[in-house]
Amino acid sequence: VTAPSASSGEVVWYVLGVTGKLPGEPADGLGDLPTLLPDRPLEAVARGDLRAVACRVPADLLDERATEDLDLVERLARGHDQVLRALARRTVVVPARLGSLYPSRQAVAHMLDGNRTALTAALERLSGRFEWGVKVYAEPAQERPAPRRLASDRPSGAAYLRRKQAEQEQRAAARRDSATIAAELHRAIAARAHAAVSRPQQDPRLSGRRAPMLLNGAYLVDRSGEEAFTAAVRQLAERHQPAGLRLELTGPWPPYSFAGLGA
Amino acid sequence: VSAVPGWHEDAWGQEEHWHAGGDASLADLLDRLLGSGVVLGGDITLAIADVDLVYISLRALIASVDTVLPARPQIEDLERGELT
Repeated sequence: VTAPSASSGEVVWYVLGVTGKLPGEPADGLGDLPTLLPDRPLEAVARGDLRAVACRVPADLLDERATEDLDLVERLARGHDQVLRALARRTVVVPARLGSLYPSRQAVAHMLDGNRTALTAALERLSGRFEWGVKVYAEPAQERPAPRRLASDRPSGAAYLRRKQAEQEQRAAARRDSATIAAELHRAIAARAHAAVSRPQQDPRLSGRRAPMLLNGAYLVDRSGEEAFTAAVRQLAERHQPAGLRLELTGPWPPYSFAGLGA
Repeated sequence: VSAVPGWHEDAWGQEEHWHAGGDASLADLLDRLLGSGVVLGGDITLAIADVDLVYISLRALIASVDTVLPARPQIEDLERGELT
């Protein structure tokens, strides 16, 4: 990311996330991590057991122009995510929102003080857990693969029954309301997770996908349960594929969707 | 994995199960980095901190750059497909 020229030279603090004590302190090891902007090393602002991981950025980094510059937004989002991913591999982190700015180091420390209880609780809640995403698309009928036939052409009663059964399931699934299917899938996946949220469907112009999105879910999963979780999602993908549903799994993510500081 | 078309499992086999993240879609990133789940925000209120404004601006930008997208297929297409 190229830092826009700071005409005033004024600097503010961009907070990427909050952690507990960093591994290896007093050396914080932040110098080994990727940075949000070139030549803007990460710094830890410490208050008690809490650490805000931040970097100094030009004060005019995110003015009104930012929202009109898709390229800048994307580079910042990817930079922010890259830092968070690297950080989350080392320690538990409460991610901050994209573009979280504070006027001074003191203001960052004040934020830590003011949210100490909530941040400590969030760190505990997120410990040993990562986020996974599951999106469900309704595949356009014409692009759906034809029902699979057996390699041998020999008519077989079992194959016939299997095909009929698959066709029947396909019809039944297609008739059901897409919202019902999405809710069912979300519930089934959430049962395997510590916490779950269903987000609004993505705009096809941002996602670049034509197929209607039925579900845009995020799930907080224990590291110890990741294998069972992904296996369960895969099973659901296989079960619903004949009905034209496409499941996409992404992850693990830093726990962005579960960083709420609410009680 | 290849048995299920569209199945993405981009995490496994990488160091400590983490993928680099370079292949994450911008929509997925903005969902997370600006979504309601991330409430730790800054002192300074900036345009970019307003998720709605960002999405509206990006949409306007995309709409102005992109040519007309094909119409979104509807759920009914699935049912019609069943009749053929």
